Amino acid sequence: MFIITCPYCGDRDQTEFTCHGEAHIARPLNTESLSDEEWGDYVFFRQNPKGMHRERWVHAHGCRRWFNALRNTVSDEIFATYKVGDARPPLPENPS
Amino acid sequence: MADQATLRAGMATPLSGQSYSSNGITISEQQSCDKLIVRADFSDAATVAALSQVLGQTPALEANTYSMADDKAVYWLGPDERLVYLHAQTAADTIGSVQAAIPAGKGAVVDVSDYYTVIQLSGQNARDVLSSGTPFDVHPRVFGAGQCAQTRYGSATVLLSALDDDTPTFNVQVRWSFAQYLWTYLARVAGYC
Repeated sequence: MFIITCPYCGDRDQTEFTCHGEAHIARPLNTESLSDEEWGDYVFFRQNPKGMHRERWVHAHGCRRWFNALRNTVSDEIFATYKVGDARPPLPENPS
Repeated sequence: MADQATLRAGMATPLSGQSYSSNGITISEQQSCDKLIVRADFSDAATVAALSQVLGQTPALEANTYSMADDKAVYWLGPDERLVYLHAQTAADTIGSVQAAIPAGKGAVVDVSDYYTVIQLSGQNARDVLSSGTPFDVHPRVFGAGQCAQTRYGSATVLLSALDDDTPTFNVQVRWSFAQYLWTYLARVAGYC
């Protein structure tokens, strides 16, 4: 059990939140000219890194707002949470 | 066949307004009141001013707080979302004027009167009963009178609000369909006080 800082509500318990995968995936604008391979890449393929990962989270049992988090997938440490549309916080220099 | 009014009176609240007391704690379902969800741009001064006039108060602008004046209370649910309790009027009488206070196409007002019910915890052990089921920190240094928080209690999504610090009193708003579950949970915990 750990504490996540919702950009709107403040520090809350992890169980109030749900994670919905990688953030910052923009839907292609030229959808009519996309190949099957490009569609597949957009719909299915994710970076799935070992280490720092930018993710979409939703405060499901709280304000129900979406926000982004910068999390280390190895240590589960969350380095930053930020509102959708805000500047991306830089990667930490020494991710534990 | 029962008419609509009789049906409505019989179903006024899911727990029939029952109450239960144990050592230092009273839990009771509150009388039903009409409620509105207001979605609007609360960072816009003109919208806030217009809504303040209709609601008789500046609607809670700070996160995790509520405002109360006369017969209405306004709870902060999100940056662009508030919940209004109408203790004296009906939603049908109020909804039009609230809608008129929001610029056209820039918000929404929804009547949610029959979606929620409110259970009140009161007494010296109220804080202990509350903290037994929620991961939210209800210690008085972070959760005092005038504050509210959406969180969960057991498996139910709830809206907690702190009413009084001297005699710890809290309102727990819960969805109608979870009311029986929450009541059973609270009564069981209160029984250990």
